[in-house]
Amino acid sequence: MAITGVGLITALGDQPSEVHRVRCEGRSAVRVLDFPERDAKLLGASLTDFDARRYLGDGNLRPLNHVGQLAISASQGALETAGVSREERDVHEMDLVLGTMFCSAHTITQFDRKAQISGPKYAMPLEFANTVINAASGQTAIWHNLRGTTMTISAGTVSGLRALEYGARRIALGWSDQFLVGGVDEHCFETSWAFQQSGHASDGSEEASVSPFGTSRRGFAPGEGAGFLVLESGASARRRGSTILGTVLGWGSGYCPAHESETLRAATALEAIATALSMADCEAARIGYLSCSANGSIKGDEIEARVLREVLGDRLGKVPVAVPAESFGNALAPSGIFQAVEALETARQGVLPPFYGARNGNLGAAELGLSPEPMECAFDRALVFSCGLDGSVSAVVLGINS
Amino acid sequence: MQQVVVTGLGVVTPLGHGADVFWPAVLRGESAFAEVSSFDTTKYRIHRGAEIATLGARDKYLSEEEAASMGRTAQFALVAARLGLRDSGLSSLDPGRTGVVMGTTSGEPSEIERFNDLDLSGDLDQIGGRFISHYPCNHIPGQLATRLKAFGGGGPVMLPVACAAGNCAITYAADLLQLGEADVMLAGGADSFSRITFTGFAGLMAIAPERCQPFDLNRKGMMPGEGAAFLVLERAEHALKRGAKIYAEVAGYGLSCDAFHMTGGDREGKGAVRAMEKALERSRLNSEEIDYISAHGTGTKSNDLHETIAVKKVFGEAARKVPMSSVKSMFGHTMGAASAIEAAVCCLTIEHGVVPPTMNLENPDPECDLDYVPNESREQTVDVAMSNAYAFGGTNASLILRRWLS
Amino acid sequence: MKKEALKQRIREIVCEYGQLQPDEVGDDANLHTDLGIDSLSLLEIALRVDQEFETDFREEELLKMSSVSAAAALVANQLAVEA
Repeated sequence: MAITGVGLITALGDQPSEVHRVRCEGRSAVRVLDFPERDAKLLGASLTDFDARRYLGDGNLRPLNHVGQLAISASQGALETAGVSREERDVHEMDLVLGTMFCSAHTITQFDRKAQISGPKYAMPLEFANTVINAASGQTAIWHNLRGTTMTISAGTVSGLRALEYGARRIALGWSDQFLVGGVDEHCFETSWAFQQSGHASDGSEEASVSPFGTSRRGFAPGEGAGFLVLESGASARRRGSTILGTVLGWGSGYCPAHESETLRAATALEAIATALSMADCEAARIGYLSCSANGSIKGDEIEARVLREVLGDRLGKVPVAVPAESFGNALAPSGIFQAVEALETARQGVLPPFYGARNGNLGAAELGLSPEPMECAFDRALVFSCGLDGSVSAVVLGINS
Repeated sequence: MQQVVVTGLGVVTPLGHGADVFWPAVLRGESAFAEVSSFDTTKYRIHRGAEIATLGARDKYLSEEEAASMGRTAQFALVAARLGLRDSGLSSLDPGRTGVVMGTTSGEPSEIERFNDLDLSGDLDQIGGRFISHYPCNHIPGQLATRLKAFGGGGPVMLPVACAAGNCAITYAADLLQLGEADVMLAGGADSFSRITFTGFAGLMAIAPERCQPFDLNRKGMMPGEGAAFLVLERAEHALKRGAKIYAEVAGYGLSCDAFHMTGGDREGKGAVRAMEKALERSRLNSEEIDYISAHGTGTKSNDLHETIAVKKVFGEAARKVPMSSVKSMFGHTMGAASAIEAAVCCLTIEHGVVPPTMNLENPDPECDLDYVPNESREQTVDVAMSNAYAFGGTNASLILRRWLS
Repeated sequence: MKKEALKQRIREIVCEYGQLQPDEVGDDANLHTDLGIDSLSLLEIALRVDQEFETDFREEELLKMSSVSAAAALVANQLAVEA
């Protein structure tokens, strides 16, 4: 089915072309974040100058928390680029599915904290309403008048791709002809601290960057953002005369508990990829571009490296491979959407962003044939996949329109 | 479209665990409301809820290791899932063809409480790995998938759609079964009592002081509860092939969103109306063919009124004839478990030909003037039951279950 | 605290939570029916006033802050009693 709208809020920009340009310049949003009141320095890739008013105008932002503002802003971009007007949504119910790993972890922690400190009486009602994990989708539906299905889906870091799958499935079943799908997660001290303490995230004490596939990688940098797509059935896209940015040809997901071996986890990812390829009626050899979610994670990157080697075989080093998390950090739920948007933009621009870690002696990258310089490329089938830290995996095959 | 049927039920509730314990208690109109014991409610104006004191004899469905390492919500979910599987008669599961989907409101809020407790005592460096492994809410279906060895349907997934979660999980499972992406799906919901949820609802002034009185003139609000429920769903041909007992068919469902307010429903119940209408349309049924409605019926002034208005709009004159009761009157609002438990209740009404009561209905509200089956369960043949659920954030989900006719 | 100053501060809180300008908030304007402030925001305004002035109101009293004047009267009464 067709992708007819894209909306992004990322640490690298909010337009696919701008994000692509920043990525081609080899820039990254990963840096050391200082939390002086916590006496902590953590690696992260948070947004620096996000102002929801830029996207949402002068409406009442008070009831919205940060994650809600991210979701509303990005979904606005998707609705606008798809040309789904406010008037249309007033008449025709629009469906929404939002993927999120944490949603409002910061809001719920602060809510409980204040109640513990000042007593439960001063727990603010609207803040409670924003603590629930479906708060962002509720706020998005209210703001944009989305009155159809409003679903929230949580599958860890692959939540954005699972949301895409959900919307695609509903369209394939004929329940819907237009779906707003996406992912959102925010950066906050609470989850960054917990990621670092659990050994998943690097503490940035040695370097202010992450090293996907690097032999000395020490974990990822938590990021944030929101990414939304409008998916439409072919019939709907034709009827509305929508510009088709790309097509979703197939999808597959799976789960292998995180404690299992890299071998087993990679096998699960390969099964999900096989399902996606089969649905897309596309052989692995036809894939002309891959995007993975490798982000510096010690175990995760090993799994993804094995997947790349297996899928590409002796085409390793000859097929463009993108590693967006090098610049975005691990943006959690929206990562997969960022990956999909980058795939489409890369095809449009004909240039693959570099893997700049390759310039710094990242041996893993060299072995996988990742290019330290931007590279020209052309392809019509892209494979986007992600292996989440909890063991969930998702894969999507995209078709590029010529 | 392939028919999807319910072949097993498992419930963990403040009124007991397992349909064999829970259902008689519901029909007797028992109350699970008591003083909250899991935390100190001195600083609150209200002190009662429906907690699960113990798993009792059903604790054999949880190993010691599981009880020690899993959060409360996950434990309830796992026990409910195991009870459901036992009920279904499925002796072994094909790991690649059996899936888990569930809903919740808060997941494992105790992990947030632990974070803050450590933080406020200056020990945040002891957070360890547990927050990241246990707090992301898909950890719970992940635990079920791992321990039950059910990795199919694309892997376990959490739909944290708050009070409509159970119904949404059932719709998700039905989709996967119809597409042939799984052969057996465990669909359910779970939530556990927490100071956060209690504080939140208390702050909304939504909690009643004594008990839950849905549709009563003097109703004062909801009562927080906790629990879990899972339904085992299969394609009809798959169930028939193995000689499974079939409770009911998932005849259809409808989803909509109010897009109005985070906690308050739209005054005219338009979203609720659309969800019910879609469910009827997809089931190819008229409203007169509904024999019983399991209401969302939380006991708040606004929900019960708006729900009544919405039902009248959809059912017209038939609204006065169809019995509609709220089991929340007995064990409160179990949040993400609620519509899963209520789906199980609908299956049981179909099986046993009895509809559960709305308890504590002492003074009828002239604006809520339908047949809520006040205070006593009633024998009645139920071929088709509708279950309605309305969530924070405005999601409305209506599910229709129908007696299986071979 | 003088009554006028009390009303002024309460008006500021109402403006913040209701996204309004001070000249839109008359002393006796009903916050809900005249100014369109929804029930949850009303509760938040009442809690904020209660917290700021340390009046420790009961729930029934919080729900009586229907206008700036009404809120100011409740607060003044509570503080006077305490004094």
